[in-house]
Amino acid sequence: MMISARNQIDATVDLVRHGGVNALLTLRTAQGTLMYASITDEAADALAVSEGERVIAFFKASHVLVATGWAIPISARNRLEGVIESIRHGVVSAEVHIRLPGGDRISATVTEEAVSNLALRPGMQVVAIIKASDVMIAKLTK
Amino acid sequence: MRISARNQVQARVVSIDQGAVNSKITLKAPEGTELSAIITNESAALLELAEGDTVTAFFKASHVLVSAGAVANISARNKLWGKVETIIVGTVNVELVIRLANGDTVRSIITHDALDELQIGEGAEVTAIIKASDVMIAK
Repeated sequence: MMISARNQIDATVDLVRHGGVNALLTLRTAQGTLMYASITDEAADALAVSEGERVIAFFKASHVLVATGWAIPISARNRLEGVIESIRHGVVSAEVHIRLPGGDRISATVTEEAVSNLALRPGMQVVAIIKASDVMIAKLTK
Repeated sequence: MRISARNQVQARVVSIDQGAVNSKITLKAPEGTELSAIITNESAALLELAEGDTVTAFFKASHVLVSAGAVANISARNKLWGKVETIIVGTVNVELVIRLANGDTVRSIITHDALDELQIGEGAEVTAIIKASDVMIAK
């Protein structure tokens, strides 16, 4: 499968918790980072995801928020600390490339206004924030 | 038009900044709430969007993040301060109804885990955070 999403991370399913409508998956990336994905119970069943399985967690760059500073009290389940590697500037939006300590890379599309307000620049320590409900799961086919 | 999105705000178009692919639309609600929306240039043209237009900005409850207290250091364009009025508890997720200072309400769906971690109860002061690219516009 090939897909347009800028962010695709190899992970293993640690835990599947079913609700009535949605399921919350706890994932561990190959680099050891914990991630969360909220998908429907139906999707979890259709994919037959089970604990210990290898999956790909993917999310659009436009669903990634960027924060500076630490310990932001925010509801989003995924808060990945990393360093800005590069910024590709546009007129309205910019693409920020973040490298996580384990080597995973995250792309975030944010407005140029946000880049200048937060004074984002390469080398800066930031947190990439992604809501669990914006993380999709794909299973590798053999 | 009727639509499923939990959050719908009537607002006026204050400015339109056009980029190569996307435009940033700055909106102001009658009560003074400012909102930013990123939509494609194509859809801005289809809507014949112009400054001064009255539009409806809408966004899904599942696209609203919640922060305990005030938050400044985040890239999201929309940060709306308010108080938690109601919490509807589900198994995995909870729905928060947040009352903004101007009387508007914003609905957010977050995980149960997040609610516990942030120790948010009814009456808590929070910031509803919405990325501009998650805000749609209807005319």
